[in-house]
Amino acid sequence: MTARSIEIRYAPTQETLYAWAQLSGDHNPLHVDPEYAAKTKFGGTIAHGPLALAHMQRAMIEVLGERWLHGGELRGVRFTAPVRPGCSYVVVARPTGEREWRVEVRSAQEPTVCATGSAWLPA
Amino acid sequence: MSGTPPAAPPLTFELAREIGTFEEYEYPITDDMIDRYRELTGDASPLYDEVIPPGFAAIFGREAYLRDHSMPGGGVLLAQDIRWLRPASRALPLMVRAVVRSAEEENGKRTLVFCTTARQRGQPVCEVVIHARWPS
Repeated sequence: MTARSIEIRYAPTQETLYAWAQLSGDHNPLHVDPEYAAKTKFGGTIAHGPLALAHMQRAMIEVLGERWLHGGELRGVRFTAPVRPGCSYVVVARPTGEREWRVEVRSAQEPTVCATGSAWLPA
Repeated sequence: MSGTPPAAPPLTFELAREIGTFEEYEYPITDDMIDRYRELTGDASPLYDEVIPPGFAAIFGREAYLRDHSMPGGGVLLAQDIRWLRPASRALPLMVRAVVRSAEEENGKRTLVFCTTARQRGQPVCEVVIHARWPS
């Protein structure tokens, strides 16, 4: 198997966050109440962590197809900076081995990594 | 009667530790939810005509311990692991159960680690491990 890399762009809006809250049941005001969130250390709403995880897995599905669902693992995903509505992001999955990838969500405008982890597929 | 359902009690650190193993239940993933997921993420893989999109793992991984409780404010998602064992069919019920793997308190910071297992026909299809800083 030859590992390949991929990049996927996405740009969440506040409407995206409202819709994700409805879908997931996570109505934390940090995500859906701009007035509340403006008073927090984040200075505004931030996207749900699981939304970033969804995009990271989308990348792995695009790389591996259904094989991802037969033992594929996202390991140690850490959320290192907020993903903000109105900004653009790139999900990057780059191979670090025959069956391993570094998967990151990066800002498209700044040198900021928002989420990072590794993906692995058993032989 | 107001018709408003009573608010779910917050899942405090102490309560999560006391519960330990949460009750298994069927997490409903409807066709409408999958349509909305595709629209929200732009992930239009034809695989999802048959299988549950993997992005749902982080949703049911969390809901498995929050079905009967609310999330107290101030928590922080620290890290997450997701492992797929086999594709989850859209046509089968998805049973989820969360277990508190560890509950630690150090220097006034409380951390809970949950492990949620999703099953179909009794077979595990996905495991989700969530590390969260829990509010005091």
